[in-house]
Amino acid sequence: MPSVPILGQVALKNNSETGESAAVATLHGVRRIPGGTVIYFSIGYPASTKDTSTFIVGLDKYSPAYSRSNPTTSLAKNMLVDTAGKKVYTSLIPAGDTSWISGHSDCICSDSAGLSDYHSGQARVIYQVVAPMPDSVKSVDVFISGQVIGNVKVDNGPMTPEVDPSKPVLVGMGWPKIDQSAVASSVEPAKSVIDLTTSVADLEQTVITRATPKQISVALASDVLFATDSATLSPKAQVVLQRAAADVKTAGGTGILQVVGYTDDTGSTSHNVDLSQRRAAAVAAAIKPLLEAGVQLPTSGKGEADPVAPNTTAEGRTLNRRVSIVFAPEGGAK
Amino acid sequence: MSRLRRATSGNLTGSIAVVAILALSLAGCAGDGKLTPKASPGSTAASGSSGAMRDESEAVLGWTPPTPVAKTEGKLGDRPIPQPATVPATAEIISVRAGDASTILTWQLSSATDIPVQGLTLNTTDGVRSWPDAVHLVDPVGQKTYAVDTMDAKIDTYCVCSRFPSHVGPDPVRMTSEYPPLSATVTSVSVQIPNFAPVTVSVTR
Repeated sequence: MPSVPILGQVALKNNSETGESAAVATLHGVRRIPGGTVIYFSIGYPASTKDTSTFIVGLDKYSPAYSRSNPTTSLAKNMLVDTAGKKVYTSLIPAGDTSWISGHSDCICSDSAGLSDYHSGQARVIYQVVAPMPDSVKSVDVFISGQVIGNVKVDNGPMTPEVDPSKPVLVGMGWPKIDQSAVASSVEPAKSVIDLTTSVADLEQTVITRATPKQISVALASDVLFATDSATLSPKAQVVLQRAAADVKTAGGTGILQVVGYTDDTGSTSHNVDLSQRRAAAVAAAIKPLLEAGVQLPTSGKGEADPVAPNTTAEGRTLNRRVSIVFAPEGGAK
Repeated sequence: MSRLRRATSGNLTGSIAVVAILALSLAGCAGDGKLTPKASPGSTAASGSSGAMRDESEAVLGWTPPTPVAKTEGKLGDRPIPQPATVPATAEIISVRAGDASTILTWQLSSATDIPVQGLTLNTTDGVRSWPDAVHLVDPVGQKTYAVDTMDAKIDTYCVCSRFPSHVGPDPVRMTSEYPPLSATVTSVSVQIPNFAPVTVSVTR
């Protein structure tokens, strides 16, 4: 048994292309440091791996970063996900980043440049610094090159003993020293924190609840609630209203709940706004008895604004025809 | 369910540019062992209680990935829509792990035939969906469908999941993705992948 901390392991194999063998990624630590959060992990091929000449694990100096300028690099993203707080903590961007020139965003992480002659059976420790997290975050889900290790405890302080990070560091031989000055001078760390959205629906996709740190939206499918171009609730509407009311209550919807109507982009803007307003009013009146006493349901119609799907397909237009009940999470927007 | 296009599984050409062939030179690092461990509050020692540092690669890399608990057969598409998926393939579920705040699906995909899928593998008749859009967990008892978590960057929306492979063949490609937390009473879910038969899997907690 290794004596180094092992918080989770995943197999990395992104493609079946000839020559790419499965690497093992091992998570060793998630640590708060001043100005950031460090992910310590190692990657290597088992000793039995014969062909290590083609080593494609989405990992180089650039790819660990979730790039703000070039999102394609997120395909190999390393990041921390606070699912309870619905925040994603992505790579800090160092000062002097030249992403607008190179197309890649730099990161504050181990530098693999110039390394060669990889040998199977050796696991190399790598670090990457992502955005700082509040002390209230006790555990996170960790993404290493797109593979998830769930429910990892967050500790404080860098892992020690620290060793020279400019040379390869084998597991057990210390931990790469973090470039604290680079962390301190990182560019707008708040921009490395991204809102997470969760989505849960009923089996028929007639009631979809989406949650972000700032709001919860329970969307009712207009196609079930109303006939085409009508604001009169259909006989089938009651089931949908009951499901939506249950979801609103489960999500803690009390107080003021905004009821907002939307349409697809078919028809004139003025007609769509009027139709969506009338539909929102119909839903508000019908669902109020099903909710907690005392809730207020102000209504509005936004027509074709704020689509949740492209209006270029029939399926997308169906999703956009909706009435949403919108409210802040319990305790207010986070 | 959101139908926002996810760049995550789109054209992988751009990703190849950043997916470097990383050749690690580790042969000369034995000298690092001369460094002396130093303690600090909240730290974790690099090696055992003796304080001596040693290469533990063998023990770490000796880990054996978990084996699948269920599998389902289906088809993959090797051509853009509207061409149908025609290549037989196997999806194997390794685990569905439910936590207090999230659920993590780990699965793998393989095909007896090498397929350059170009990120369009899970085409459906109603449009192009990347797998984050298309792979759902379904709780048949609670009558709920769970979609992959997403994050909204300024430019686009991305899944909290593995990228989709650009190539699928006999050696399985492993993927993971994150979903909202399941109800505490859920003991099994149906994993639903377009063009594959739904497969029921026990939930581990």
